[in-house]
Amino acid sequence: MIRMSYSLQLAWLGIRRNPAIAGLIVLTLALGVGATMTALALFLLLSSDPLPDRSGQVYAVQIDSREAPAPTEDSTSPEPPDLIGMSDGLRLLDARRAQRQALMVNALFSIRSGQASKDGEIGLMATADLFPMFGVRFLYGGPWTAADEQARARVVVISAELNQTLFDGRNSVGETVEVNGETFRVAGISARWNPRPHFFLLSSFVYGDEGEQIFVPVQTANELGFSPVGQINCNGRSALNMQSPDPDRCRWLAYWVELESAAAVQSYRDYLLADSREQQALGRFERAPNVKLSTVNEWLEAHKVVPDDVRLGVWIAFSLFAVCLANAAGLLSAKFLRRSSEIGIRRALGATRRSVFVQYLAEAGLLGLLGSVCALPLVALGLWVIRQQPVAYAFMAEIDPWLFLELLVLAVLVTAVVGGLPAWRACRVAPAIQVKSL
Amino acid sequence: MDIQPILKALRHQKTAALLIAFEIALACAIICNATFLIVSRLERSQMLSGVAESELLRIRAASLDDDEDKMARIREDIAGLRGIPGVVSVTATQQVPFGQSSWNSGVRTSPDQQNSVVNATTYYDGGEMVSTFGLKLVAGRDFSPDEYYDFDDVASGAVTPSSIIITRTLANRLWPGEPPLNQAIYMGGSDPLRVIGVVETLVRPSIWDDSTAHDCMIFPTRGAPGTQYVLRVQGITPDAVIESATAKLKALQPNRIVRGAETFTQLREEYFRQDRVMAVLLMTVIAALLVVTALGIVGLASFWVQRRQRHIGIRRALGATRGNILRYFQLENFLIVSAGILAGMFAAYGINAWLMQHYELSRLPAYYLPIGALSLWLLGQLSVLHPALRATRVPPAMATRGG
Repeated sequence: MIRMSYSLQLAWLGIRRNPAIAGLIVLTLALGVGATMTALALFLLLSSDPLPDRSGQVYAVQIDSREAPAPTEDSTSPEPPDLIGMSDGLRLLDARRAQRQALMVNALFSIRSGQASKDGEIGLMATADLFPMFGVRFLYGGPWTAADEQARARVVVISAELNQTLFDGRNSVGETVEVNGETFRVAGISARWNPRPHFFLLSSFVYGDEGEQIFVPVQTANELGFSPVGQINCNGRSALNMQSPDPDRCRWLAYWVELESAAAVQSYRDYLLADSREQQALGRFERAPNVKLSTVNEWLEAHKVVPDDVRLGVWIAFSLFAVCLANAAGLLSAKFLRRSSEIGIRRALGATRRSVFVQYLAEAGLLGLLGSVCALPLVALGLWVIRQQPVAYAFMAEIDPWLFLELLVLAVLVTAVVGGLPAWRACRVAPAIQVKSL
Repeated sequence: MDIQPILKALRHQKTAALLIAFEIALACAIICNATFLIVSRLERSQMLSGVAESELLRIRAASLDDDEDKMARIREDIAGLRGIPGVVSVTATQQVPFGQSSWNSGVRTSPDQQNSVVNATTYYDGGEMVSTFGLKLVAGRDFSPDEYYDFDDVASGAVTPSSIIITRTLANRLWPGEPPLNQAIYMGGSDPLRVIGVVETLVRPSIWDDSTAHDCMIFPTRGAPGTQYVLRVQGITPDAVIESATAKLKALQPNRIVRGAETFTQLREEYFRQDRVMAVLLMTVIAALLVVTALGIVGLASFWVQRRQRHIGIRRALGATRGNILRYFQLENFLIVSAGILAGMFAAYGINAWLMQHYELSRLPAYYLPIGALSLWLLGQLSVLHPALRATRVPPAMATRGG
């Protein structure tokens, strides 16, 4: 214990002996650590889990409802399409074979209540299980019911933000709003909800700064002819009509389910295969049964949600870090070797190699710590710069203190290891020659 | 000057010299690749669109597809928009250059061809597209008014399209070396579409492969789903008519949602935003890298000068001039940096090969290597200058002092 504090004391003296070089080392390390931390923070933010706690049991469902591949089709993708059609969706939904299941698609709505109105609000046409499955919380009221869906009831869930605009934030459950010109009853007010990335409908957008503001039962919306937005793919020559897509031949909806155990996943997959076989027997599906269940993370991975540029940025930052470390190590080695005579004396007076090594390692570690601490304002600056950039994910760039701490420890360790090389050279100095030269 | 003594002296500070050389090597590799990335990104963001961007405005309203009188409404909208002061022409289409969402189709050059030859994007010209966009016809002619048909009539099979205008890139891809006019292409069925005109260039709304960015076809089709309007404005800037155009569309149909208007300058900026952000980021990294490397060289060189004061003094006492001392340190730096650059060039190609595998990058052109080398030599010499000049001021009398 005493020896450790003595080593640290000597290290501090060593740093103060040559403040210019020490300053350079700290500055270099701060730059490297700062750049790496900024890039890594952004990378981790972008690859973060949009549904913490439950992402492992929520699955995207893919079934293959495409027309038979033409004999000439040059690339038959083995992957079933991401989206499904209304008929298939409603059939799976009504079977209720998963713990929870929801069908969903984005749409733009114009909403009015008395004098207040909002145009072009992004919303979801969905089914009721979406709320508990995706962790949407409610300020007032709650989701609509399955009975509402069956009855094609005109019920709606609006966001707290929209409730603020339309009803000044009061409990508006039971009141009516006009949605695309039709009268709806408010069933619930949802708390702020904006999973990032927007994993369940990546074709609509990937990083949004607002999230959905209104939710309408998809059956009701379908009956009223509300048009979806996003991607649509159709079999055969049916026109790509986003207004009223063909429920049998077009695909534009996402289907997600919640399955609690591996056994449930297996039996659900079996159910999907049986369903596809049945549809094939009925002549509706033209391809061999091809189904897929992906967890949220598998889904994000498969869709390359983290932009390539961010990945590249992490590599660039790490190579900058490597340059900074090489630089710091070069400076450290010069600094240590300059004190060869001092080492010689300490060794001649009986200091072991180990204690000399520990002392210099402590000095390197201390410089690493100083560098990392000085990196903090640089990280803040880097993230601020990213927030100013007009890219979709920019607003997410914030400092996470735990991440910073982890990176700080990492930086100190790496610097100490890098400092180990000059420290090792320093402790090998032969005592006699150095003493003689005095 | 003889480099032998320099090498000998360097052997005494192997670690530091090697570390600096390693740093230079890394810096060289990164600078070559990063500069290449910056240049490619900036070049990409300058991609030709073929349209008169500075005079165009795109405005989108909620779709009219449910409307019984869709075609009449679109005609009304176009007439209304054309009446706005400053607007010289208006076209309706379902997609615009750099507008992200696009309609694409496989194209064949003979009816019995099994596979599509190329995939091209389809622009639906709801009237006067060529003149509104400012496209340049290099062969053939524009559509005549009687050639236009309604989208719904094609969908129902009442009309069979028979003429198209294509870009020169697409023409060259389909019939290399042949005149494209009057050639036939086939899409879904066996009905030929005759090329009646060729435009110099036009870009796709969304580009996934830069080499096919200008493969476009134009059909004389009115009233496609997702119809939007493009306004050509002269005499004032396009953003000056955003408000009046929005108000006009609202006035024509009070209940509809106007989804917003963008100038084509904005569309381009948005489309290439990511590329520009990346270029700026890379420039920052290069700057940081140069600063760090320079600081390292300055620090280490000052250090060596300090350490070798006695040695310098002896040389001065033995008759070395200040110039000799200066050149000694300059040459020493040059040797270390050159070693680093040599290793760095191999590393640069290694990194480039890796990037090519993972990020769809092309091969690093060889001329980036001398650029990287030159900048680092320059950096090295500039950084060593100050410490080396300090070395020249060491008096010969230092030789007589101990330490």
